[in-house]
Amino acid sequence: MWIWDLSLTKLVLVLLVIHSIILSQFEVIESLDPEKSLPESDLIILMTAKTIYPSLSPESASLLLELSFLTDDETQAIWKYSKNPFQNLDPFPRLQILINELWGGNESPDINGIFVHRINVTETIQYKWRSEMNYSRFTLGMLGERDGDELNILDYYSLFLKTDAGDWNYIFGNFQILSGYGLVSWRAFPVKSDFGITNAVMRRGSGIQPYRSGHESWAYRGLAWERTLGMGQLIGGLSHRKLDGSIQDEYIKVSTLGLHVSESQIKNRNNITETIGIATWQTQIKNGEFGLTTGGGTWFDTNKNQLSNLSSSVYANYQLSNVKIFSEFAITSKNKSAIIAGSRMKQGLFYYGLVFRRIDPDYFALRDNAFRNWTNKKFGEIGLLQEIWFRFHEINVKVYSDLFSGLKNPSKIFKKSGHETGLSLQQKFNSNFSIQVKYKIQENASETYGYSEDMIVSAPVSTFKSSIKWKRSPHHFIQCHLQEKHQQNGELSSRGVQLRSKYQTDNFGLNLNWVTANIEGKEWIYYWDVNVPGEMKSKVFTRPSHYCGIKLSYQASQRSEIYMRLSSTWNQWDFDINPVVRSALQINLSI
Amino acid sequence: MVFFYPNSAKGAFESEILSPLQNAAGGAPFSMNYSPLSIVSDPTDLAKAPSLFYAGSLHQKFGLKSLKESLFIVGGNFRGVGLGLGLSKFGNSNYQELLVSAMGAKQVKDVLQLSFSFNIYQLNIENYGQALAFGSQLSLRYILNNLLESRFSVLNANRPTIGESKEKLPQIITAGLFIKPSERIFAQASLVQDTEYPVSIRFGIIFKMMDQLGFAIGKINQPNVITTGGYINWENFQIELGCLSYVDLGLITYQTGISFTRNP
Repeated sequence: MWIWDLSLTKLVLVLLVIHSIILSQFEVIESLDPEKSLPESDLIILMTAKTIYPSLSPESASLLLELSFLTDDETQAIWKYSKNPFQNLDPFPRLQILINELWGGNESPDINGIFVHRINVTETIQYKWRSEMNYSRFTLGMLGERDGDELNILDYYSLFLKTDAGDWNYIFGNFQILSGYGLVSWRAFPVKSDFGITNAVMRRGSGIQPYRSGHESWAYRGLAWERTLGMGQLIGGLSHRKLDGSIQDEYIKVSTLGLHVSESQIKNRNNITETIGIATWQTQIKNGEFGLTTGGGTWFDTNKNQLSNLSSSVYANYQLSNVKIFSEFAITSKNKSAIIAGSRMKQGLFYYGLVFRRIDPDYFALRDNAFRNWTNKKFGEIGLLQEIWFRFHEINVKVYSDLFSGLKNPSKIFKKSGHETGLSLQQKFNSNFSIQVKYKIQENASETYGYSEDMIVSAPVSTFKSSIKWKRSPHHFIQCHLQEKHQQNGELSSRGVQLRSKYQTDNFGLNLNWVTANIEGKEWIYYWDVNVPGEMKSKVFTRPSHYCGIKLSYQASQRSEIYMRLSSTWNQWDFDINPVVRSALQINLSI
Repeated sequence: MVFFYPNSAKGAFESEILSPLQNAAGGAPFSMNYSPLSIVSDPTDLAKAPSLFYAGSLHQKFGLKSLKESLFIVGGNFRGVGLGLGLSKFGNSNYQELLVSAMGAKQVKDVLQLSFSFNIYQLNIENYGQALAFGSQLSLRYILNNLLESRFSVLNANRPTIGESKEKLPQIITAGLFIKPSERIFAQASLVQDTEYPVSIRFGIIFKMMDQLGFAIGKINQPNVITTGGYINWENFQIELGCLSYVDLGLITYQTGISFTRNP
């Protein structure tokens, strides 16, 4: 059942669409793997930076440093570049693209704030509002959300006020604390195995940050502060809030859904009352950094279950010539421990990275989310990841391999160990044309399909991805993505092709996106959906399908933009089905 | 007389307080052509209101005395801040809804008009008692360019309830675009989402024949209504007429209004 099985008319339709549709947007984030989650706060930060700041400055750089997808090297480079624009950014092509996308266009008028209103239409209608204003030394941010069928307009809201006084920085409202390497307090999403992963894992947490994401149960709510002293930097936070979730035997299972429509969802809303205090002290040492984090929390649920936990960690990094090493060790009052350690070596165009982690079964701190492969906490994890990059003639070669194993295996069905290996070859023929080929083998008794109880016995899955990027003119970009996925012990194979085109004039933009996917077995294929700014949804194809998406953008003035997207999915190969239609309207306003 | 409404029955304070001209232009949830009668539903108009105005309207839905709606508004602009007070009544001597709305609006830079309303809801049911609740409305109007304006408001985001049964008062999200292709044609496309009901999509156009006379037509999809009407403007007075034809009910209702504006 491949393309040849279609009737002539439908075949012509498919080929016409594929041929005439020229697709794509080249945002840096679209180069990321659509199978991995991306924090919403990253998208919000990019939009805010682009709107409020006219160029890369120390102020805008400090906002960009909050981006989760930047690596350790990139954060250092962007900070240096913001202070000295003559800094060479050639070794950081992603940063070059990012800076060009953010500030390569027309100069913005004097802008102090942004307000974004989005209406997202699926079977129901979701409304989302976001605003961030700079006024003198104050930054005020707001996010409100009403999911489809929820009865309250502000079913979820998040507010923060960021300011400074002398050497003190404060955040009131919703905040997050990024400490060490993620064993105690981190973002809502962990770093996952992928190309360039060691550099991302080595990025030390940068302390307090406003919480901008729509993930409803991850933020701390209260007061956070940060002060630079002679003996280092002191970071602290006090939080008291209610959150959705449940108290398990030895840890808190935080709900990620955020929907409050069904009776059980409404009952589960604000089920847990949480109080947390956390402090970090870190200091510079010769050629490195050293830090301590300690925090405690208590949780009560409406059934009068109670849990309390203390956790502490020590972390450090050290640079010796072209080798950098890092480590964090954490222990909790539940007698659980975790360690993550690694190193990297850079020599010219050669790079070698190594990350080791060992996390006890049921390890739970406060908002821990360190690098690990399995998200299920019950089994624990021990693993070793290695990565090599080098350049062979004009081709950039990246290889990584991650071997991991569960520390506990209560289920006979669950396979205790797994591995993931990837090879990426990328050649940039000139500034307008590049080809990248990726090959991955993954074997893990996976939670990929969302089962938390009865795991599926897994077999190695091979994924082949190929991307062709062509900048046809300064206004027109084209991309083609091919994907093939199959179980190594089976004959069935899923395949997909995506074509994307972006056409941009001074005031109008048109993005077109076509996907045809032939799915066999349970090997699902993921592609980026067509997205309005501030959202980054991937589309998963679980059945033989065709998909067409369009995004229109209109810059009404220097201060305002209107975006509209419309997509249609036929979840049947021969189109003999009513398509699933989705749409969104977004208005970006700035003052 | 008993109506069998095709959708679910509505609760207290579900009736929208729109001017006759707003109703005529497809139940526009915001003001399209400045009129003091629109100010309770769209207080951003206060930001450009003259120094003093007052206005009133009457609507006897389907000619029924029991469904009588009346509205009175007074306000003006004081030192760059628009202030207004609105009083709306619905019902009869047995069942009466009273809304008192205190409104303020301010122009921010050249592009934004922002307003906030504090609403007091009072429900009177004869031989049963009274109940009070406090609500709010936040509205903004943003001038995108010479052709387009973006409108947005949220009503009762503070989740008010009324009475011992804690009946939820309506929470409504309104979003729309106001389009002005010429000095004599104004159009609107809007969504009105009461969180307990399906979304209402609305379109409407006002043709300004001359400074003193204009006509309007429109369409609402939830409920299914075709609208028409117009206004006559004479010196400081404006008289408005709205006519709503409920397609599924097969009934027509009329609304009239008059406003007086004192220019400085």
